[in-house]
Amino acid sequence: MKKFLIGLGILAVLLGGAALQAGLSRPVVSYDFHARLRPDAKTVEGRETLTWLNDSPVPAGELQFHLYLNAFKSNRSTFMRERGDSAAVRPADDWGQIVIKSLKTSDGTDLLSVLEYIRPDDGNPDDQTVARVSLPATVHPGGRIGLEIEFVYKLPRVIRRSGFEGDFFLVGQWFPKLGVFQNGAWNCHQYHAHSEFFADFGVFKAELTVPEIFVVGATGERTGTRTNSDGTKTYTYYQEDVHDFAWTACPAFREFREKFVLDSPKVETEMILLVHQAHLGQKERYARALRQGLEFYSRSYGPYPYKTITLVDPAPGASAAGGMEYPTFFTSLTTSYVPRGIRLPEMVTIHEFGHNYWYGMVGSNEFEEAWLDEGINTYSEIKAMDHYYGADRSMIDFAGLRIGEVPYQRLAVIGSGRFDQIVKNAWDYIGGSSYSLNVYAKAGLMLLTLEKWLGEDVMDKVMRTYFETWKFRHPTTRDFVRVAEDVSGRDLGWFFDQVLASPDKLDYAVTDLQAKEVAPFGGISDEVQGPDAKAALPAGGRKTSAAPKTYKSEVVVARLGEWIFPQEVLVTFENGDNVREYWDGRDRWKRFVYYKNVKVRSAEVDPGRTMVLDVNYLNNSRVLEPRKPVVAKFAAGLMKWFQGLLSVIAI
Amino acid sequence: MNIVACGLKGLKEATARPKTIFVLWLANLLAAFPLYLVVSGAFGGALGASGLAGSLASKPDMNAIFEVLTSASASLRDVMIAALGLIVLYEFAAIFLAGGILHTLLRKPERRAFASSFFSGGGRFYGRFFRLSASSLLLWLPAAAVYLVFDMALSAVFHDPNRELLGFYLGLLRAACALALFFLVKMILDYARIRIAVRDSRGVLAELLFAVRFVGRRLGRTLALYYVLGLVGLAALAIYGLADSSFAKTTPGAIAAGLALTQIFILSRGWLKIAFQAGQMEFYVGEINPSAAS
Repeated sequence: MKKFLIGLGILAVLLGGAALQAGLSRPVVSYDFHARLRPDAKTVEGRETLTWLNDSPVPAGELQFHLYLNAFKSNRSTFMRERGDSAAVRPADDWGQIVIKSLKTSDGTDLLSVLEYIRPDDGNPDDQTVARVSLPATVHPGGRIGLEIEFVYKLPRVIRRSGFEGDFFLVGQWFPKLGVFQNGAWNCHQYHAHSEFFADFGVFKAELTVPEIFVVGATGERTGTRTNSDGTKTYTYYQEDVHDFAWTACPAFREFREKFVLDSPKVETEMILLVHQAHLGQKERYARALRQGLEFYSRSYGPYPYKTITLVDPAPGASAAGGMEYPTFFTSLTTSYVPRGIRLPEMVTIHEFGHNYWYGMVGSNEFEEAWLDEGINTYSEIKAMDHYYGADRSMIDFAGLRIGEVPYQRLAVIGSGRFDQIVKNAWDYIGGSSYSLNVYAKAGLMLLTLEKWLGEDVMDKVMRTYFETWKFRHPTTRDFVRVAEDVSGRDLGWFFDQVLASPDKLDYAVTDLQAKEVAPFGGISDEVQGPDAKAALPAGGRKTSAAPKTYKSEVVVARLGEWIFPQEVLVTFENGDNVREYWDGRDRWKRFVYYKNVKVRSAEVDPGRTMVLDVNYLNNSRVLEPRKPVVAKFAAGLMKWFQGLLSVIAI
Repeated sequence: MNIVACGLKGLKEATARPKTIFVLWLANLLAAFPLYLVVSGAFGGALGASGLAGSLASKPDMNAIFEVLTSASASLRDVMIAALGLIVLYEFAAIFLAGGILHTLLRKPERRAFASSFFSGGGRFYGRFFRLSASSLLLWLPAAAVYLVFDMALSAVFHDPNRELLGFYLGLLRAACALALFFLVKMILDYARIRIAVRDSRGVLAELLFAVRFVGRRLGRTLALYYVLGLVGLAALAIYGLADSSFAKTTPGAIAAGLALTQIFILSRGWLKIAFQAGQMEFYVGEINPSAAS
């Protein structure tokens, strides 16, 4: 019977899939919201009509919901405990929560009475960010269930992607949101201090009512507005092929709209910029960065398919709401004055826009494999920033100081401990910095390393293929690896097994470089025997002036880290000749010896700088004659600065 | 007293004392040179032998400097410790130098036995100036308190997170306030030292309190004199900054030229230090005993 049901389910799913071919995604969920913002009370009163399609081959007897906002209900929630805020004293108005007033099936069966909070990740009894309801009837594969939910959402003071600050409201993760039913079970994790989100694609409709003076922005396309007699205004929004819905409201927003058109690939979308009046001077920077993001990602991975993209500029004092992505809608970050060469607004804008690809369309599980969105997006962001601003100054180009994004990201990796690997549940990292380091910087640099290993053209194809294959679906790390191997035609298991699954480091070095003159032959030669033997040797065993000198040059390269990468070694001799050696990099060290009439001048592992993850570039090369002037200049520069300091500070 | 005249007098007195300037420069160089050795030793092996040094050969590449500093963070820690130690030592030396400067200023310029005058002055006043430095906590603590009150007042009056640009300017204002207080305390200590030297007084605390009163009653003029001379220092710094940027290469010649230029700048700092003391002494004497002023 069970097999029959599963078979029936698969058939239903396939038929359902065929019927949905016209859309970009298979709409598993559909949400229809009616929400009213009450600014004085800092609440949103919401009603949600939810339909869920069991898109799996397994029947579902229960539903699981995220109630993310309960993370801010008390200092005992898992989120607050992991953040180290368990002892935090916050004014009463600063806390937030979501209260479900009513929960019924579409036929009116009450489910609120069977709602219970569960803690699948840590068993914390004080955490109420995941709820479960047992269904009166099983939802069979291909079947649907409809729910009517009424809730009140009390916004916290801006904290992690949501909340209020003054009259600025960012309403994110605000509604009861279904988890993902996968492999016969709900994937519905608690809200953790360092985790993000995971949900199914679907259709989102919303009617948002706010006081008339508020300017509103939201996921998707605005389909209408109406002014109400009670001094409020209602905005309606609609968006297909997304898996979340967020919105914002603030009377101090200024709305700017601009058409973005690209011929190849074909893109036509409307950029909507909601810029706080305190930051109007930054509007052009935002707009330019957003155009760059749209162009770069569309050309590199695939055309941006939505009709709108909304950039939200958080109000002053609400920076905790900045730098957050939602489908077709994201928050950037700036202040009233940021020098043009400090590219913070540009970097945040390009990064958060980029999440429309890596998270938005390619809907990987941010709880369990955060690198698939943050790491891939960091890689894409580096490529975009370097492309538009120059690799040596893509982060900072101010007052003569130039810093590129790769060196900046390398800083984090170089100085990191060896605690965590890249692929891990977001809440299992030793701390927030280890999470960030691994899923952002290390994963981004890993992909840059892979790019240099495979070649830029092949890597571009890998990324495009991954996007094309997995957009509007839920890929895993295995899927990415499979695409990379299929497209490149190479076995990359050795690469990914190390960098994704091990917390170790990559460090190859030239540890020794020597050149010694070879003494001419001395001793008894077998070729001339007997009394004449001595006469056959050079006088005193010394070289004759006519004999050319021979040098024995030795190069020792070593693996100082744990990760094993094949290495190219470039050995250069005094006369400019060079030799390229290849080493599989497995042993701890390898010696190369040369007998030539010139000395070795330098040796370098990884001369093409393909190993962006190498934690020490300084030891990658060695010269026979140390460059004393450089050291002298370095030391003199510091001494000069120190002399000036002494002349000022002496009391 | 005419402030400009005092300033000019100070500059003239300083110009007439090249030996004193030389001693100040030498002390600065001797205090800083060990850092050169520490840095060379700490980074020499790793950086000099590395091909990465080539990136730094032609221009100061911040991306390469990042690599050097992060890859050799232990060496960087050694350098920081050495620098802190040298700063402490130089502070002690500076107390001695202040005595030397004032002692020579009390005599005709470069008359006879400069070394005897300078070093005996340094030794003669060392104990008193040392106690004065310790007593200066009586000024530094109130200055810190004033800053904190100013900071809190600004926060209370202008607490509006919506006005970020105002916050930026308030930050500049806070920095300006901190610097103004720093220089004010330094100036009061200058007058205390001058009074101790002129009167050969041993009552350090009394002279410090006198200096506070002296400056307090003539705040505008003492500050004007201080900042007129400070402007000369700023001009010297600007000229140095412009000239130094043209020695970016890594040839031995360029390094030597850059170092020489820095030494000229440090000489100018010594000259200015003497000018400060001389100008302030002229002002002090003129105020206390107008007939004695030149």
